[in-house]
Amino acid sequence: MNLAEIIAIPKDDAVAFTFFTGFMAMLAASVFFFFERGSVDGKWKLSLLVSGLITGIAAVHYYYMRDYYMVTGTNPTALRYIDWTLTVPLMCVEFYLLTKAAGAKTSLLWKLIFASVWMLVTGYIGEAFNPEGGSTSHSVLWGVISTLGYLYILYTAWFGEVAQLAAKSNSDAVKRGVRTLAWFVLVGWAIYPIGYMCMPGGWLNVAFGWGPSNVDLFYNIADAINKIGFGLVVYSIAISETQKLKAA
Amino acid sequence: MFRHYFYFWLTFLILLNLAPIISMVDLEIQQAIAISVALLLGIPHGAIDHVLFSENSRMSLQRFVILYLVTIGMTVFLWLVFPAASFVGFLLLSAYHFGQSQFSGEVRKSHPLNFLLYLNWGVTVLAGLIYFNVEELLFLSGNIQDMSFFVPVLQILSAPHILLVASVLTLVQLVIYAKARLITLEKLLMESVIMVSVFLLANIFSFFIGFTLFFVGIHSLKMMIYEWDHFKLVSSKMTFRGFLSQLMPLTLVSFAGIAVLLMGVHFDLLAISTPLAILIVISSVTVPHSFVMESFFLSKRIA
Repeated sequence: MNLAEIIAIPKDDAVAFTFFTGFMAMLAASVFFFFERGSVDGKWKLSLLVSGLITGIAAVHYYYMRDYYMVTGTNPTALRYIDWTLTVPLMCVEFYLLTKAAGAKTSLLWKLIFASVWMLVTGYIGEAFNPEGGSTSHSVLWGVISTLGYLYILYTAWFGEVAQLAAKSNSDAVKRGVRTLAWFVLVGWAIYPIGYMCMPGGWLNVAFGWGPSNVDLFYNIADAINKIGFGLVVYSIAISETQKLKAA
Repeated sequence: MFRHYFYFWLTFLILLNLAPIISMVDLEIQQAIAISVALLLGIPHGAIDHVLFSENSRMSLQRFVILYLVTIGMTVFLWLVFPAASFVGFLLLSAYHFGQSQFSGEVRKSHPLNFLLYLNWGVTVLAGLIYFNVEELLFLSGNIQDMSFFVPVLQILSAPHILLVASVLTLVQLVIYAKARLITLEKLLMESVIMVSVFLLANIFSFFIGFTLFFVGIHSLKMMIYEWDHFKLVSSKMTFRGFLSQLMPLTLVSFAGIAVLLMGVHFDLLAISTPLAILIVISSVTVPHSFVMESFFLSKRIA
């Protein structure tokens, strides 16, 4: 297969389109976060580094995923989950870094990382090891198990340790930022289960006939909103806190 | 986000995963389970009406109970004489009550247009639940002789423009309220998420499962938490057990009443179908409960 064939995007292929735009957006976001590290106070540099890493890792994966999709026309499940297994725990690290000043302990970090890995590994088993043709019981079982990890993170962000630490924080920017990230978990991350349910055997697949192509579309849109959005929220907190420090 | 929204989300997501299995369950079994859960968890939130009412009224308990029972009796009478009009009236009153409890304490000041928001919000939710499940509801009411009057009413209520107009009006009013700082931006976003969730619920599940999840997860649980917080504020000595003991007497009386009624239907002592009997029961307790809650919210200046 030559390069010209690989990069040709059919006009009506929204999935291919979003793979390309996703890649470019993630790459641009990484460059932005890395360069902007220089404009924030020292204690926020690590947060921006993590934001840049999240979008950077995603950009690399999107580079491979778009080619995989263009050549095979199938969804790159394994690459997708490798990407998420690295980037989603890093998003949880952001919660820890934001609330560290308010007393977050490393146990919080590990609990969030564990919950996110739990959510992803069980989700991967549900998607990738679904028997030929799609088994509803397999999809349902692993879907429920995976959802528990998501619910733990959701609870922690809205009511649990993260929310309590943010409430204790002296910074309004941190309070607002943590609440915004919690919104990302509630709304943005909710798009992933929709994608999961499009897989063979999943509910949307059984009821509406939505298939793997819909999965990729949902995932690509969700990834761009969540990863870049997450980073931008962290960036706005860092900038606002830095300006406050300068003014003091 | 209120804590009860989290429980709603938890149940919603678990049920969403289980949707393929739930859809295989016989519709009658789904209805029986959903109605049982709705009654079991829904009735307690209204079983404290006498206590709430007594806080803002000098009326004796005896008189209150008589008035409550008279209202129930009149509602039953209206249902038996004018079933279609009573059904529409019940839906409108429920819509207002759902909306009022949804925004209680969250609209920053009383406003003459608040009642429109409550009504529109409630109509949006109920119209969504009916619109997405109209075939199921028509099938159910078409097959039960004494519920055939539902058919034309449901056909009108399931018209897409009712859902569309109510949703748009609700959203527009919420945006205006958010701009005027009558509600927070977060409340606006949360309400949008809830509306989408309710539509998803209605679309994915049967009417009764969808309604029960909304009724218990969004409405009843919020009201019970609200009532619990209120009693804790009134009396610092209030314990959870004390709160439950306040709820228990009327809850048990209601369950006993429903059991007697259902037995009467089962043994053909009452010439009425079980679904209609349940609907009349729910309706007859909703009417006095809505008036009590209206009076309570107004007294707290949060309506």
